[in-house]
Amino acid sequence: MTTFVKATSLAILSSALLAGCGTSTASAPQPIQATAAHPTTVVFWYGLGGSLGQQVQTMVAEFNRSHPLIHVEADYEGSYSDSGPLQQKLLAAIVAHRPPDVAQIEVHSMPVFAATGALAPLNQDISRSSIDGPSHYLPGMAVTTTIHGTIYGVPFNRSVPLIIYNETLFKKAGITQPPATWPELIHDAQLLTQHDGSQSVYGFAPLANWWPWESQVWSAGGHIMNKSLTQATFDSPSGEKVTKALAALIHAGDAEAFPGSEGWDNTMTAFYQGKVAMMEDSSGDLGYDAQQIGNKFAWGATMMPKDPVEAVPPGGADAVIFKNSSKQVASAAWTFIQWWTAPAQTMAWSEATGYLPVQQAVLSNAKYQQFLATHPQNKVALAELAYQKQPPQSPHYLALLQYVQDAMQSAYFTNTSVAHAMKTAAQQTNAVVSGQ
Amino acid sequence: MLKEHSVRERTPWINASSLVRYAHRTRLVTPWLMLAPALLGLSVFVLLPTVAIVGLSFTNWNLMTPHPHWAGVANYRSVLTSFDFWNAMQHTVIYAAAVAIVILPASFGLAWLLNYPLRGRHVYRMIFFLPYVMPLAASGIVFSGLLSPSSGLINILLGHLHITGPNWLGSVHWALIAVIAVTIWEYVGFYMLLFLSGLQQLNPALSEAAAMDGAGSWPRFWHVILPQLIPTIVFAGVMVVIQTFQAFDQIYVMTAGGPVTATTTLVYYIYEQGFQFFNVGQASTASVLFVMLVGAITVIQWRGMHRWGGDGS
Amino acid sequence: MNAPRKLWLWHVPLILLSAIMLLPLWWMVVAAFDPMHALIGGHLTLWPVTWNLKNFVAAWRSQPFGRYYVNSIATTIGIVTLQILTSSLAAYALAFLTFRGKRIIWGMTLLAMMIPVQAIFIPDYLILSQLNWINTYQALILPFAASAFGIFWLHQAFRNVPRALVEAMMMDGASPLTILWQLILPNTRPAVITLAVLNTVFHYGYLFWPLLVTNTAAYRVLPLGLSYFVAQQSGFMQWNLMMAAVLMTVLPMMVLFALAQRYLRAGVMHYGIRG
Repeated sequence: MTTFVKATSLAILSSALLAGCGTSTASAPQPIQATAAHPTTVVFWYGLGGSLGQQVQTMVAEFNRSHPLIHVEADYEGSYSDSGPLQQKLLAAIVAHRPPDVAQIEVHSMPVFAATGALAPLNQDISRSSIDGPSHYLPGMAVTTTIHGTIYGVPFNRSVPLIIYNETLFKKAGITQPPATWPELIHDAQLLTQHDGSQSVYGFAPLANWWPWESQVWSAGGHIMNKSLTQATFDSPSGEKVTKALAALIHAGDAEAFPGSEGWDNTMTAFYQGKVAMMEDSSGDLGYDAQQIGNKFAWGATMMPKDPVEAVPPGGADAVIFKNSSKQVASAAWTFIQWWTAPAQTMAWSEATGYLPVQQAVLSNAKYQQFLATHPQNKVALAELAYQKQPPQSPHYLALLQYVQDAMQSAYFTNTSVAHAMKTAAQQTNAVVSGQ
Repeated sequence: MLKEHSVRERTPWINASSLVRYAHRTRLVTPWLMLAPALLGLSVFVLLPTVAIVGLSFTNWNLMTPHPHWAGVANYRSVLTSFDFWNAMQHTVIYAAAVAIVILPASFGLAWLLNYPLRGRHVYRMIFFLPYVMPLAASGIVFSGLLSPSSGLINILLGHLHITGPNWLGSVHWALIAVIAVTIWEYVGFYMLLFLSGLQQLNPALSEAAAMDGAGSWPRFWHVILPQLIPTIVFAGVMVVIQTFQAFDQIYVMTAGGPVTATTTLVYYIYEQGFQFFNVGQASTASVLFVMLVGAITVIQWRGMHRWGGDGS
Repeated sequence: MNAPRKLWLWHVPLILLSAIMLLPLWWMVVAAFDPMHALIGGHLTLWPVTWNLKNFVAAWRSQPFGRYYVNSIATTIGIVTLQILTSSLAAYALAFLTFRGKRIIWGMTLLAMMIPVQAIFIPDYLILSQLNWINTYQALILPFAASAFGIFWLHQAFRNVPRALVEAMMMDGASPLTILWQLILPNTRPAVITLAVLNTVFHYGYLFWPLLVTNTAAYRVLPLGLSYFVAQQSGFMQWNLMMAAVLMTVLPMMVLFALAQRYLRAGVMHYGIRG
């Protein structure tokens, strides 16, 4: 028994020692003058797949062409959202003291990464920058980039959730205005739903996803966590009100939801095929939507409904720089970030994808004005910015979102009630929050 | 040199003492030199980590703080009372049991049949064994394609029968079944070969003796053949359980543990706790319980092999 | 055993079952050669509309598959070679040499055999990160350089070599390495090849470990590359490109299967006997 105790404590000790001496092993490379033949390499991990990922690669190639002294190596690491591979890879790489130089951080996970102590504070760089800074940004951008006064991120590809709707189907059903409140949306969904033999058209397709859920909780006056971030409080009557109404809509056959990890993609496909009249979507998908819908039907976008509070969560990702990078690399990384978020680039990115142009200056640009005139859906995203609300900045927030997503899936697709599912999720969250 | 050699060959009586000398010389250094590479590898990557998970299971640590915090048995209490853990355990047991129930009789039947001098039996064996060389991730992706709700072959075939196929991998009811199916497909040939090797080792004399005693083919199978096969069957059964308990790759590419947690097995739960939530204490606790479970099954295997007459070697 | 009469009747279910077993592979081949429109139309496609290689070109360009091939092959060869080297040395010591502490070493080997990697990956990861080996070939290969199963397996095989032969060589003053190389390994070739082939299949296809210890395309192996290829196609899954990528991944194993079929089959059968 004593040998066992000895062995155990030895193991703990050795792992603690191993962990403790870690920082010293990462040695900074000697600063070398960068030349066009030996440019400074900046490793950039991004988490956008599909056509968005191709757009990232296009822009990085453009940067490398115009900056011969810097070479950005853009690596796709899997999705940055939904506890996707990028987040795991980043956390694991931080543990191993081998993070990249720049990474996209999904806005909700910023507190988690800030808590690791691996992110470089950017306050100084921002105060000196003529491009980046709260005074240059669109309103609400800083809700995710600043944690307890320290700036860790630069708004990189930011989005908000919104409702997109099929105007052609709306006209057919005699609806002239898109819904502004959740009760209106539910009423419209019932009007729009047509069960015609095997070919059904559903009025609404709610996403079984935590992102629109944040808006659902807030819009009815609920709170996701308490102020001191010690407890989950979303399992309250106001916090559950909208989710309950949507679950009832699904179970009554007036809405269709798509389960599983490909639920969002399947919802989009159904919308493009005209099988669904309304869906929650990211403004970052508006470019893809336009391309997929083409001239098949007329479509529009409207703000997330209120009930009666108007509140939208931030979305997309911010760019961060890691402390591990040498001075030379960090400054090259900062050049890259500033280039990306400068008006010309953020405008091009926004026009290609639908993500928000993070700079105020873009809004007054005549070319962008013209773009908005032909793409009225993108105006909705800009209008929503006034209602951006900061999600709880808890280092356990990702676990909370994971439990909530599971709860939504079981409330939408099984016989579990919303109240029961959310209560379970809140208990699971509280166990994690109090455990550490 | 040459002389010495020939002397030795001709004088066998000095063999014993030279062997002793040889043993002396090699006792201290040689064995350890030969063992060193393997021991180093096993110590660093298997034994030390095993001790470490036992230690870590008594701590709380998210890997980001420099040191783990002592937590006593708190992790065991919370893991053993957590819904997630038992949920994962339940999926693991269902998964293992379902695969075993299908794969053991199926592979045994195939082996039995293909042990006859049937024309083309080598071709059949090859076909059934072929999936085994596929990387599980590749098989998982192929099955995801076959089961894709709108463009997958399975739902198209069902559509021809006027059945609307489900969204297999998106359904909490079907996802685990899909993972079970790909596992069976992958391994059925492997177990068929295991049983074939068992069948080919049967003692034909016993069977012939029974036949001469007038035993019918069924009693002969039941009383003469089956008892000889029990070690193989026990071995195959344990192999299936251990293999399915450790499954990860196909789940990762097909469902990532979802939808909801429908395909979250014990290993997947440990992976999520450890590498998604960085909840090292709870992940280690679950790992310790997992090792104990696999250990118990292995011990049962060894005991079983000995009891039922296998030589266990 | 006498064959039952009308044995040929069994061809009916056997052919049916073979068709079921081959269907996923055949669908993979068809989809890999097929232009997308034939697939998404929801039609039953069991023969490609055209046999074109465009999907392979597109898949090859969308991910650094060349690099993945190199990584997979280097990793697999590295692991298999090192494992046979370390295991045969250790197995020799355990089978033919007497030394103090042998029982403890043997016990440790049996114990290590029962520990699945999936249970100890967290400390393994921490050790590799302290060695600064995350995202290197060392991280992919060295944790599997020694294998308790390999030692156990070769030990069982080595024991079947007549002791007298070994002792004769010992008395001739042959070094253990000479005995291993000239006597033991040639006489246990089937067991060694079995170990090599089973290990090749396993490690070539292994996703779990590379997923943990690599994080850039430069060190990804094929199964991991496939999983990234799936992830990258978010929004719209192009199954024809996917299947082309899967086929490229599977091809080396199919070639190995064709070449080493005899050993593979014999290997599994040996495995069954030895358990």
